[in-house]
Amino acid sequence: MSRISVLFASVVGMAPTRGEDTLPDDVRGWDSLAHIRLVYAIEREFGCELPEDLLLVGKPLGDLAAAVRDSAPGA
Amino acid sequence: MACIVTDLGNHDRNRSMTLGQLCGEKGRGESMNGPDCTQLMWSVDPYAGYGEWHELSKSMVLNRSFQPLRHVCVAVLATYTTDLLLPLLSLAAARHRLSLEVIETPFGQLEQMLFNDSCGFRAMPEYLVLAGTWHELGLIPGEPTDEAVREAVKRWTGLWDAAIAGGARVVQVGFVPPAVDSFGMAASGEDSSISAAVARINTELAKNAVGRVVFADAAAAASIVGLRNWDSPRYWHSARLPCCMDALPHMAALIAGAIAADCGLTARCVIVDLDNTLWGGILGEDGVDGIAIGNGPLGESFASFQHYLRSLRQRGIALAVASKNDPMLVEEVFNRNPRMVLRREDFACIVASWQRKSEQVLDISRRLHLGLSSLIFVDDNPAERAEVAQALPEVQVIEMPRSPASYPDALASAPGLFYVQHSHDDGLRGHSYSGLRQATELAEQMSSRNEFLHSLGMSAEVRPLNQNSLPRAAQLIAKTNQFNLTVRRRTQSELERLMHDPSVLALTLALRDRFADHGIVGFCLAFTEGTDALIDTLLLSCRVIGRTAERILVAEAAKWAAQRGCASLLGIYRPTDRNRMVEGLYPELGFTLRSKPLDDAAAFEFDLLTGFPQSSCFIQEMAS
Repeated sequence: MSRISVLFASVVGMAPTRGEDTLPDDVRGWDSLAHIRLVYAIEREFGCELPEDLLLVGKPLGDLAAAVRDSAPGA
Repeated sequence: MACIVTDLGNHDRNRSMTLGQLCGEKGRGESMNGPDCTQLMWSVDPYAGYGEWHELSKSMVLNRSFQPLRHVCVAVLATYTTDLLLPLLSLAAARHRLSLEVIETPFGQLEQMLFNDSCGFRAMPEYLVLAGTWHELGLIPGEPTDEAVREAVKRWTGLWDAAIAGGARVVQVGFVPPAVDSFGMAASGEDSSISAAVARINTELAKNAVGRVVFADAAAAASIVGLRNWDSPRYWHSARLPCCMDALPHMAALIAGAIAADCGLTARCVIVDLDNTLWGGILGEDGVDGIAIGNGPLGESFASFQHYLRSLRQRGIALAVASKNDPMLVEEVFNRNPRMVLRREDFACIVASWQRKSEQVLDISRRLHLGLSSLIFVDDNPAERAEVAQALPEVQVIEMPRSPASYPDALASAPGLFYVQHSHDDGLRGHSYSGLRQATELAEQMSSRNEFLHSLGMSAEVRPLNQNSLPRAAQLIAKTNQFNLTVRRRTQSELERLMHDPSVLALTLALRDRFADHGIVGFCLAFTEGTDALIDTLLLSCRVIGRTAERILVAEAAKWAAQRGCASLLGIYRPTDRNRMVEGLYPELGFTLRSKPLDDAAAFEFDLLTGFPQSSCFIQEMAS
């Protein structure tokens, strides 16, 4: 499991069902609140800052992963 | 902002517990169980960040060993999202041994909850926390702010009144200015800047709060953390969070601290070690003139710590010494070393002996009539700290840093020292504890108790409750556990209503003796019910237990009842696990037990047609 998936599981309470294609509708518990905590956890883990449009819940998990790859040299 | 990815501040936070330490070798779900739980709670540091706090608050839900001293119900009404904050509140409260039931409220519905009779709270919580952000204050940089300041004060104080009328105690969280102000570093001097307007609103609210609500100064909390580390515009814009995630534990600590302090869950006495705690070096080896105090960088560090301790004393917290030292040498330091900041008389009690530290602490607790949970223990030696923590887990033992320059910071972060504004009688308290120690010593010399009570030269002033004494009375009701016959926690607003009710007697008692002025230390509430008069509340501060002051209040109540044509005076005793000491009070005063209990409490009766209960013969009553 990728580092993002591990973070996702610990915040949301279950693993992303469809990997990077996972959407909020796929996982019960991935609500706006969980999403803020997920963003916080990702930014802490990778030492990066995600773009504003990813702060709101809605995009697939892969978008978060891609943003991490784009911004953080260590990811 | 940078705060999202870095730890807040660069403090020497080696006293902070990590999650792993708290969880020990057990699984996370079982963390904070076991006898050491209370001590561990104190070490939970807001600087640990949101992630740690969130995990800890989750494991707290499962925790069974936490034994709170108080339980209160609280609701937070805020103009921002509180969903992430609320779970942290219970953890923050646990650091004060306070257990919270947190009621969730809809976001931004302040007026709707408080001004609407039908859709507000099912039952008003004991504490209502009101909080907002600068965004909705209507401030436009560069434009006059007077109107906005007036409006803000009007809005929030109006909410206070509604909450108070509903029976809640209000905690107003102050406003935090933005990290970025168009006037930059000069903002505080520019009346039209947002920062200056926010500061004025805070000042106005704090001024209005005195004796009315608790003001929790979030701007001060944020300035200690650093505004750039606190403020987070992106989380405001995207999620209506008032601050960045890592500032949430600080916000929770502020709110919980204010509630705990208002409930009286604060330390009453700081017990300090001497060698390498109050001064550098070992007195027995370095001698009275050889210890480091006030001279050089090391001596200055210790002098600063002494200054900090002295300011605590001025705040009403007693100081005591527990030291393994020769008592004669210790006296000599106070008499002879001119660089000592603290004087002998700054200490309510000095124990210098070769007993174990835990025994010394017990001795101090006994002499000062203070419960163990109201004591803070400060010692540079980790072994001594461990011994006290092990033997007396209720005592709050402070983790001390290596460097004495950081001692004040370590002690100031102790949950027990959280400070909120108080009614003015608190200032007398530090002095009162000194007087208490002298009185206890006198008692040890006296052969009989009566002789002792006479020798104290006590005088009491009994007055009807009034606007000035109201906050102190409310505080006593909230705090008193031992000498409290019914433990009915009436709120300040309830008292204010009762104060104006002609069928109610509400009396405060102030006591002084030849050692100290104790201020208002007793309260009695009685009302008439047909031909009976009922003592609803009778309590004394633990500082004056055993002084027979309760007799004055009961006798006054009897006089009042007789004047209103009552035939009997009823006294109620509602047992709790902490007020056993007054179980036999009414029989002692000549009351007889009624066969039928009143609700679930024992009712005692005094027949007023045969006379009045005897007042105290040791205390002179001053005309009010």
